Amino acid sequence: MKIFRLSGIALLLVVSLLVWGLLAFLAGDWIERGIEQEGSQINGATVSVASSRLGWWLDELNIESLAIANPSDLNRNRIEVGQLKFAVDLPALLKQQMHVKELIVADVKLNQPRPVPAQAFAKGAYSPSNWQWPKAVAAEAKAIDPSAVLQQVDIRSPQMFEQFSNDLTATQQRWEAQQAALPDQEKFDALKTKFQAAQDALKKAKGLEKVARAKALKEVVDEADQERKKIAEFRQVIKQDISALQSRWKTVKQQVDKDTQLAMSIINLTPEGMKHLAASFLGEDVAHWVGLALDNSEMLTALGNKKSVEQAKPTPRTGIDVNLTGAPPLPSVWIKNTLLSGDFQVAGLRGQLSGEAKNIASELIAGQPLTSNIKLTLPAADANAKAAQGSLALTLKKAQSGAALQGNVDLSGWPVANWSIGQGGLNLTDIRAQVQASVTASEANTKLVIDIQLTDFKVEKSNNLSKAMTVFATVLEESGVAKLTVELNKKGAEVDSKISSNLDKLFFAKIKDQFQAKADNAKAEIRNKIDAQVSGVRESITQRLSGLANLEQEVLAKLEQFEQLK
Amino acid sequence: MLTMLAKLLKILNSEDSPAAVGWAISLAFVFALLPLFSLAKWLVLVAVLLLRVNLSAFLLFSAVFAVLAWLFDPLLNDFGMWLLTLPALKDFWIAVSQSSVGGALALNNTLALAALLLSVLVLLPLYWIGVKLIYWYRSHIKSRIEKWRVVAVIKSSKIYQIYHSLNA
Repeated sequence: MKIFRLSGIALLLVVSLLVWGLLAFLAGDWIERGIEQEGSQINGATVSVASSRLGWWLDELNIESLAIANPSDLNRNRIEVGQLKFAVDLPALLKQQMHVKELIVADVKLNQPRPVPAQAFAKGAYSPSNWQWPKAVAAEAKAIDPSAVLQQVDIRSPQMFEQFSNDLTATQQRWEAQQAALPDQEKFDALKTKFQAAQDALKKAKGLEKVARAKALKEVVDEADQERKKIAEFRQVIKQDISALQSRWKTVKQQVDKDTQLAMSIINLTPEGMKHLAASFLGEDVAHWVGLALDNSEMLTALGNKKSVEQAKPTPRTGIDVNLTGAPPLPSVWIKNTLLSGDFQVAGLRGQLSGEAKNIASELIAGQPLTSNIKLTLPAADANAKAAQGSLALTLKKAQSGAALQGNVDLSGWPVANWSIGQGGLNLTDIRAQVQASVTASEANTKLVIDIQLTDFKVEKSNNLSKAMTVFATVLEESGVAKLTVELNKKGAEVDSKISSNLDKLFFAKIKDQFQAKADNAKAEIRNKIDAQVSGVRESITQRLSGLANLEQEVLAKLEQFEQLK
Repeated sequence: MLTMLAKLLKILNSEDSPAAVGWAISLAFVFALLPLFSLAKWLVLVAVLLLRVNLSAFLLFSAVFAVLAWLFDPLLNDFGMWLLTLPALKDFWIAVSQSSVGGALALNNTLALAALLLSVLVLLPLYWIGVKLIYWYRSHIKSRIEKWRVVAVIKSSKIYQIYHSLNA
């Protein structure tokens, strides 16, 4: 009997064809669904793929027309990629893992309109930033809430008034104690009786008896003199205390003015504060990119927090891959090397794109940092102009606590068609921009610094511009160069922002007169607020201070009484 | 169910050698037991196609054993996990799983390892049992079963006639 059958070869071919067919069609479908489902959840809005097909040798996957929608604007796509081509690791794919040695990306378009609105998805691994900039800064700069301002300032008036009142009470209590030790009316009357009796006895005395009576009178006078001295000393103390209290009271009252000045210094009606207003007007168009940078920084650093949990219970027919060597487990999606090339299109600009990215993965791999280096070139508009250049460099590595991100963006001579200021009322057009941005992020902290310089722009104004924006338009026209620096430091939910512009001082100089009246009103309002806080204590102190003068009069009257006993 | 029974009877009554059916049963067991990502599974398939193995029996028993494999999945996983975590064998498994053959056979996977070991262990015994059962059936049971009414019905059915004529 023959062991082999010839028909087996034909059968093998048929079965191979069947397996090939199944893989070629089903694997493509599976990958397409995976990208669309997982991608949409990570992105927060629809991620779609036109087609996905395995190559003839089942070793290459071709994805056409990948579109990633913008979760903030469902009518636009963040990114569209014409073609993605990569070699597939088939054994990993059979374990539902997507490991790619090399990915080729061609023809990238950014921020393109969608034919059909995208669907929003709940994001999973990270929460997007809900901090709105620069609207928050601009609103803060424009509105003045005296109560809110006073909460930010260390107002000392109420405490100082309270302290003064307490000290006054203590002084009065000390005086009362000292006053108790002074001779009262009864004592004075007794001494007076004794004095008159001694005087009468002296008048009636004759011969040597006069000496004895005079001695007795002297003793009474000495006794009265000692009491008088006590009263005089007490009077001196009162005089000094009253003088000191009145001087301090003057200082305490002046604190209200100082507090008002302090409050005024932090609101945006001083040259220092005004710069936030100018810079925030200029920075309104940057808000989208700042938000995007913050969101993406958080999304990227969240990759470092994903813990690769050892599979405790296997799904049917998969088993468990035991990590024998202790090497870090590989992520379910891992693109080792990505090559980018071809056309590049964003906001009506067309250019060329080139670069590479390494280790793009569903989670960070220890010792294999995610890096990317992308260069963009836009052709010169005319023979005299220079070609615009752009570069994006990014490094994301696994750190002991989460992930550490370092990114830099550099654009030079970049054409910007439109820069909206003041909610569209004022526009800059045909701009050349120089942009330098850097982001440093970890699990706890995100630091973003953006330097933008706009030149060669034209200023377009609408007819119904506010006075401030009209002045701002003039400042822009006169300056010819607009520089903006944005520094953000985000720790948890707290965002510390610093924005400034070369136009800040120019703008303030132009509008300070218009704002002076507003500043005066705000000052009066703040002064009233502080006054209201101290008014109760102030009244009580004033009454008690006038009472002190009465006490001094009382002591003086008592002193004059004792003068009679000389 | 009837179709399955008919197929089984057809296989048992066929003129194929008991060895071809025996190999089909044992290889079907191995094929069903191994997971998709083990190269061994696909080598078994190639072997079945190239060697004179009864294909009908292989397909039938693959389906039957696939259910068994699914049921015994947890046991196989536990066995594979026990083997792979034996301290004495740690260095051996590292060396094996890092080799190209070990990698292709996915020997660091609990299911792939346990299934492969079990397959190697039962391949020949299952073949031997299969051959013996066919001999025993054909000499002792076949004549009695052919008298069953259900078999007569199946044999008289048009589908069976066509099937028989195609195989003739």
